[in-house]
Amino acid sequence: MKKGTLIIIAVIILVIGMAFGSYNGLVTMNENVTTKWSQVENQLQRRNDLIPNLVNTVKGYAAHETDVFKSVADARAKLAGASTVADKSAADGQLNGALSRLLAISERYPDLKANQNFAQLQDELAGTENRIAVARKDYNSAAQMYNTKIKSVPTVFFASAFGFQPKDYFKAAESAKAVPKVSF
Amino acid sequence: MKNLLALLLLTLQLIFSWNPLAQAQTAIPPKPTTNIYVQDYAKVLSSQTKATINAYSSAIADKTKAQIVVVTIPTLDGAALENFSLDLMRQWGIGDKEKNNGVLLLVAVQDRQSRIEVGYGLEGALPDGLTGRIQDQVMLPLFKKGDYDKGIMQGYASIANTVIKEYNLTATDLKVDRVASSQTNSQSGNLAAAFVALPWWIKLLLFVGFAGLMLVDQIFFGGIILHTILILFMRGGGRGGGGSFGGGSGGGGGSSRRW
Repeated sequence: MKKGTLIIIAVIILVIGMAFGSYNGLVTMNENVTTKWSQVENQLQRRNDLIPNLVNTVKGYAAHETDVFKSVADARAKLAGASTVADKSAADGQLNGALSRLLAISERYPDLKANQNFAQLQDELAGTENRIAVARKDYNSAAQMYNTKIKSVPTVFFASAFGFQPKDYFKAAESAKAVPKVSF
Repeated sequence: MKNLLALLLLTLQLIFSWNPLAQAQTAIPPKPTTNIYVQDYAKVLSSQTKATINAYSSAIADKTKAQIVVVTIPTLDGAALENFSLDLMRQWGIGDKEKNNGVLLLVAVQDRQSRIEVGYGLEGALPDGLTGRIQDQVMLPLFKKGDYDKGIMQGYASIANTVIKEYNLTATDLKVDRVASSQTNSQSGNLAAAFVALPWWIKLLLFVGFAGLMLVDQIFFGGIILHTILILFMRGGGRGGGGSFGGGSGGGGGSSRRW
């Protein structure tokens, strides 16, 4: 009788200990995902701030390419309005496509291509695209670690009880996979 | 029984180390432990250039913890330049762990591609536009002529000067006076530079002291001290390349070029 009580108490303590351990682990991982996501948003914002400068420089040489300017503006507005991870990754793909069309224009305007300011903006844009790709990869691997954890034993028994939901991945659209390359 | 246990452990090890999340990684060269500031896998740099880069980078790292590293490779083997250079920077840990102030100048010679990768902490001093300009104006004209040695040396100098300025230092603060062309080892390079920098009377004193010691050694100990010193020097030669990477990271800042 006494022995049985001791075993039950030991099991209860063990379960509570495991629950605490899982909970703390999940909190840390969840924080990590949040940090990585804010880095993605940072870089998306950085690109959004860069676009008006780039567009204005191109306009100075190729004012009549109104279609491209409009598609960039539309995609930029759409990305700014997106709130969920899925919406953002879709809008990001669209903006990427529009921007590569904008950069392709420069091939047809030698004066624009030779412009120092344009070269610098192109570098900043390419650098930002690359940073977005890196931040996205970092976010996805953090989210993957977290998602794996909440679906693994023993965490799976506690995760939903504590309100930990799986995270969405930031998918790169097929067209957006290639980082725009600057080549001279 | 023992063998069975070993097999079981090995199997367990394999099961737990197998990670479906791990993606196929490009082959990053293993982290060097000597001459950490310049790794010339493509063999395009002169020993003078390597010695200079090592001497300046280790002096800059001593003062600021910023690490400027030059790596040349023959080819990327189809890997994307940006992935390769960021993976290398993160795996080696270029720059200080807290400050993330590393810079990597990477040249893939046969692919005709170059990249300046900038750690988080130096993105302000070396914005993407500037790294692009350094490559356009300083490096690519020389690369196009096939002069990688000079192109890399001058590109490195532009980067190093920018970093030095960021920390409010000047080249003279680093106390790198002269780099012996025969030195490829940064430690002996530093020692040689330090020796050259000494005032003449200290050199004379050292010389007289050493000569006296050798005389005493030969007369009383039969040359044992000289022998010991020689052995120590032999060992020291193998170690070399002082310093280690700081564990810094980056987020993809910098710019890439093809020529």
